[in-house]
Amino acid sequence: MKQLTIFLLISICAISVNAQCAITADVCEKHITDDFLSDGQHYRALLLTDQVAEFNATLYGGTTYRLSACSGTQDGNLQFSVFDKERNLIFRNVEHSNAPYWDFQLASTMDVVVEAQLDPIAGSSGCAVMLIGFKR
Amino acid sequence: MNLSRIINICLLFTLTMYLSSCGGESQSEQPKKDAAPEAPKKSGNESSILKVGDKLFNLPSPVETAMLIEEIGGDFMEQLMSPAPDATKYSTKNAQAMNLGVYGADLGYALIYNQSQQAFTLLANCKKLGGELGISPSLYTTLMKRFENNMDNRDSLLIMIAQLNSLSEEYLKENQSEDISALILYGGWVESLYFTTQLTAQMNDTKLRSRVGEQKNSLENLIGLIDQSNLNGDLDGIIEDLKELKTIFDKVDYSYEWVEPETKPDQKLTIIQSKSSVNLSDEVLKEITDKIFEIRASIINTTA
Repeated sequence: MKQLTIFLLISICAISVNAQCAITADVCEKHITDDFLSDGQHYRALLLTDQVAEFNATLYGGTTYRLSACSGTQDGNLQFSVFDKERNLIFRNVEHSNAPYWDFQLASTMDVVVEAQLDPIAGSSGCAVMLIGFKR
Repeated sequence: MNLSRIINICLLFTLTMYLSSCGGESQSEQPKKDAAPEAPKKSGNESSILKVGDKLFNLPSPVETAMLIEEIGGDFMEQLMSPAPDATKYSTKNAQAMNLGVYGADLGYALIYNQSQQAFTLLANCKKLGGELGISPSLYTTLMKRFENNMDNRDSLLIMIAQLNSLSEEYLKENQSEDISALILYGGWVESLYFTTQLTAQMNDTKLRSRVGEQKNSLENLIGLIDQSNLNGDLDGIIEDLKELKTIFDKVDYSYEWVEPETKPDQKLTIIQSKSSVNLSDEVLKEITDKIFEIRASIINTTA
């Protein structure tokens, strides 16, 4: 009986969490405007405030990418930093008022690591969503 | 109690349950805070979306590769696309997912070259496979109607396909089918690399050649992605193939030089000026070409 209760609770919560992630994805998608094409992938992670989601990507030279990163139902809840593979810092959105999206123009192809975490002010847990688009 | 508070409680509950389940076999073992970065362990009916502090892996869009092929001036080559237009021959979920990825890459390639009629046929195949995989047929039906009304507008069609890919991936993730999603990405990546290697062999273009070598890191991301989805060993064969391919890619020389980026806040833009180059010898290119040919053949010839 206890196991059934836990299973039901998990199922209900999973549905709620999915619903929240879907809302967050909608918030994020509006930043991938028509001059960008989505790479078709949704990157999601459930986070507590002290946790960091790591996102590995290869960005091609000669292309401009848009990274959109969101949590919750409004912009500015997710902090993200972009590093190269040697952990040199390329960008931090906290230096730009937690900007929900940013464009990256590349001279050469490179591998990047994006780290995302919740802004503690925004809440203690949440679904983080990241989307990538490339300029047409 | 408002909705966001309910969701917050659910998130905390779910995370707690998840962390408990990551701790090992013992029920009494305390949750480990530092277990978060590890790859998730899933069992039974746990939702696969519930990944905590997990690694996420990006793969280049097949459309991005198709755009490069067009940019360097390659002619449309129908024979590059999958010769298996009968989607019904794929009877297992894994075969359907991998070949949906293949068709998706073919679709991007056909669209870039304004082969809209061919693209429409491919889209119909995608609908069949997507339906078998549980992706809502209404996603495809709506898109096909819009597609028919915009057959001459390549840019609109590309946006629609990007939206379709995005929506279907979102749909799969919301329905705890991340393994299916990973296999679709796998099929698309293999098909794109198949295009690139075949055309590099024919055209000897330096940009295409570099693009092949640049898949070194994407391959590592792909292995990570498939590995996360290989919860019961079903995908061992794929991982083995990819690791063999990685052994070949390890021979690709890669150089990288860090240069301070320039950020333009008013444009919300950072210009990344670091420099990289790949050096891919003819021998290694041939090995990659042969191996990807073999992997791709195993995908499109798999029926069960």
